[in-house]
Amino acid sequence: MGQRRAVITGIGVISPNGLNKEAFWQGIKEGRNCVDRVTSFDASGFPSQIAAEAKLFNPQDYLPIKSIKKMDRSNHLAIVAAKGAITDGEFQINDAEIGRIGVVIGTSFGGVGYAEKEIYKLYTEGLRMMSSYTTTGTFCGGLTGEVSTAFNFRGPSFTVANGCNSSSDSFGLALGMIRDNLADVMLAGGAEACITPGVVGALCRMGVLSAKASRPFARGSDGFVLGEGSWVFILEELEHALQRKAHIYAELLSWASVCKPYGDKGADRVSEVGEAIVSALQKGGLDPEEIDYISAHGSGLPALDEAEIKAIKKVFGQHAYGLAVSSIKSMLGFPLGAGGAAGLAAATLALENNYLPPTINHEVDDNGDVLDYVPNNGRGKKIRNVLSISLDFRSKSSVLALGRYPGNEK
Amino acid sequence: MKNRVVITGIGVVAPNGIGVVPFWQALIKGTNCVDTITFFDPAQHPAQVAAEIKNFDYKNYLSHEVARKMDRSSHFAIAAALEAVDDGAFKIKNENRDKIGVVLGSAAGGLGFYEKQMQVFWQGKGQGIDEQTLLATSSGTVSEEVSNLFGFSGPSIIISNGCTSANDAIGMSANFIRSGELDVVFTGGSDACITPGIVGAFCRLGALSTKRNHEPKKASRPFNIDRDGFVISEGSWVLILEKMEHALERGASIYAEVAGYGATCDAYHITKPLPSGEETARAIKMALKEGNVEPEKLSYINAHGTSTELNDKTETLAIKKALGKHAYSVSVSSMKSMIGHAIGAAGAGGVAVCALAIKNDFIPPTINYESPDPECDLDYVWNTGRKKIVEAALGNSIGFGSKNAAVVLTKYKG
Repeated sequence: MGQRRAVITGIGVISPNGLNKEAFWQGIKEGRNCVDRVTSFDASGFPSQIAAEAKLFNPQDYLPIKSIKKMDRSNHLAIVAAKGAITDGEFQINDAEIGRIGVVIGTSFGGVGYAEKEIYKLYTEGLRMMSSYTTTGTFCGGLTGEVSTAFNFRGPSFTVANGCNSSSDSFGLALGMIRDNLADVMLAGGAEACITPGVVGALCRMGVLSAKASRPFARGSDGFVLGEGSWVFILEELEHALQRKAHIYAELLSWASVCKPYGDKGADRVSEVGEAIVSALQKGGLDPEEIDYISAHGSGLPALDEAEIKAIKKVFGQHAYGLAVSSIKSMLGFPLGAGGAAGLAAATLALENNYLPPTINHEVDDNGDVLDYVPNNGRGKKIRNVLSISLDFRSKSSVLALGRYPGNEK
Repeated sequence: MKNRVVITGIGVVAPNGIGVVPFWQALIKGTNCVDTITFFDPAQHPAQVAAEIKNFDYKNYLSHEVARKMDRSSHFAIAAALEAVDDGAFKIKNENRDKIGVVLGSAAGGLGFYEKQMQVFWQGKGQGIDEQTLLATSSGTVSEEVSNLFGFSGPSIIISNGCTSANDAIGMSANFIRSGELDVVFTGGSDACITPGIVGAFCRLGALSTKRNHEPKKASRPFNIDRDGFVISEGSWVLILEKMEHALERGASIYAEVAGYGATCDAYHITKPLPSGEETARAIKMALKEGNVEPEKLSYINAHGTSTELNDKTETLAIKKALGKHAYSVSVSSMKSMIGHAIGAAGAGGVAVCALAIKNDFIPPTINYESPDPECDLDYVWNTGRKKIVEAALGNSIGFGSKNAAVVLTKYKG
């Protein structure tokens, strides 16, 4: 018996550009810019006052007020995105198999927004005013507890909280769980809702937020723009998907995750990202020339963008100029731990539609050695296989490889 | 054929000892580490007891310059990882770094750091918060710092599943080795939750013991009928999980083999366990099945045993459902009676105890036995530990958010 294979059969989205897969795809296809002034709190005192908020999302359209209050916004986003994936995948929940359905969601900060509010109450009004749901509302584990419970899924229920590559690694774990026969179906993805005074304040102090715009790969970019949202997929064992005649978007071929020392003793980030790409290609049985599109991390942090570009050039050689590389963060900002799932959604839909979403706000680099960033306008292209790259600030790099099903059967 | 996985090193930072030897000695003796909270003034907190690690000095492991950029949970994890390297006589060479990963469980990560900074923040000094706040708060930093310290370049992952975090981290680590993805994983858990905000939040949930603030040593009393909640604790346990051939090749001393793992979700309630215990039982059965361990062969269960009303009776019921009649023959104990509940790190402590019980053929006790509960009628190894041949042991954990995770270890016999 060969290794069990995992395919993507449903995509649910709550994003700054829309509340389902169709709106998300339409938005990134058209290059719609969702970055604007922060509205969820008064940001006038902060050096950076812009973000990509999921303004269209109103939890009350989906959840009873009573349960809304018990949870962080990241939980609301994830539950509704998971519901979207189930609908999109026409997935019927059969009681006989709920024990074989699991959930793995990545996040950087889980319910930190909930914590922030309740800590405020503790230190200003006293403990008695603190919500009795502060632990479950705050801890990252509450996120997947709520999603599993919402759908009565009784398989493994995991939150991966690695930092900005969390949701890419959540797909890695989900893939492992399917291959290792711990589950037949996994809801996998990412959720983040940290456009809060505390997190924006901390990011400003760290000096990584842009005060201007989201401009991945552009010369003179002054940082990234914070985003939010949830992207949840149905990842399904191949036979299971075939049996129920599910629509198969793509096969998840491989996951690679590398962590190299940072700082003084640091290995250079270029070789680290390169290693992760090479490892994903090898594990996925892909030649570099078989990749037509890379959904890049491209957050707009100059040093990281540069490392990513150099790594792509290093690994792909001449083919680096033949494939396309774009960053949807130019339109949707950077939803930290959910960024990997957002990027994978773009990669999956690009493959499905043979269409490249653009990098907007693109300004031509004048040194001549430029990749095809799909500048400003999306376009059609025949796509065989794609990579999705996700990077944490200092030392974690994750890469996922997707192949067309059944196109990748050689 | 899948790779076999063994445990070759254990590092401990716990309220009852730093290093595996002091930890085990204290457990054998039944040393009680619960006392009145000293880390902050708990006057407004209904629960005022905890098991704090009072003698931990991060300077033994880290420079102040590095340490001040991290939360206490990262300090613990680094110290425990260094202790594990020492215990396992593990040599880090350039050629093996790519096949070594770090997978740790943490429920709160650097939340304590965030809480302190938010105090500053809410007092109107928004610009005054520490520039390290974001990274120090991120749970991911806990594993990142351990990977970074040793230069391990495999996956560096934090599982944040509440109270089952560490068991799930160990289960995933074993799978990474079985499938050939990695040769060695530093795994376990770390949490440092004894802060005004987190203790306060657990108080508001009504999960902590509040009736014995005047007699803290009696507050953590798993399986007693008059138990009234758990006692919060902190710490880190890091285990070296190694591919069997890798361990044999370097002549490592082997504590035990990691035989199986099971994980389920009640999908019932965000804080209450499913009353039937069926999903907890299913996780136990999954772990035994994967490990090819007949229920009758199980010698010991390190129980989640938190001392909350619902946990202890539901867990007891689940053990009966999973093991049938053998439930009355297996020895079950809860170290939380001595060192409280270290939240996301607790499961790693439990698996460490299973490994030590197997290696030493000794079962540590459940202390504070005073008042039997008819619904908790198993052999809890009351008050005094005992010698027993331990062929197979199971570390059980049950978490808020409906999660269950069990890890089965067996005696390594080549």
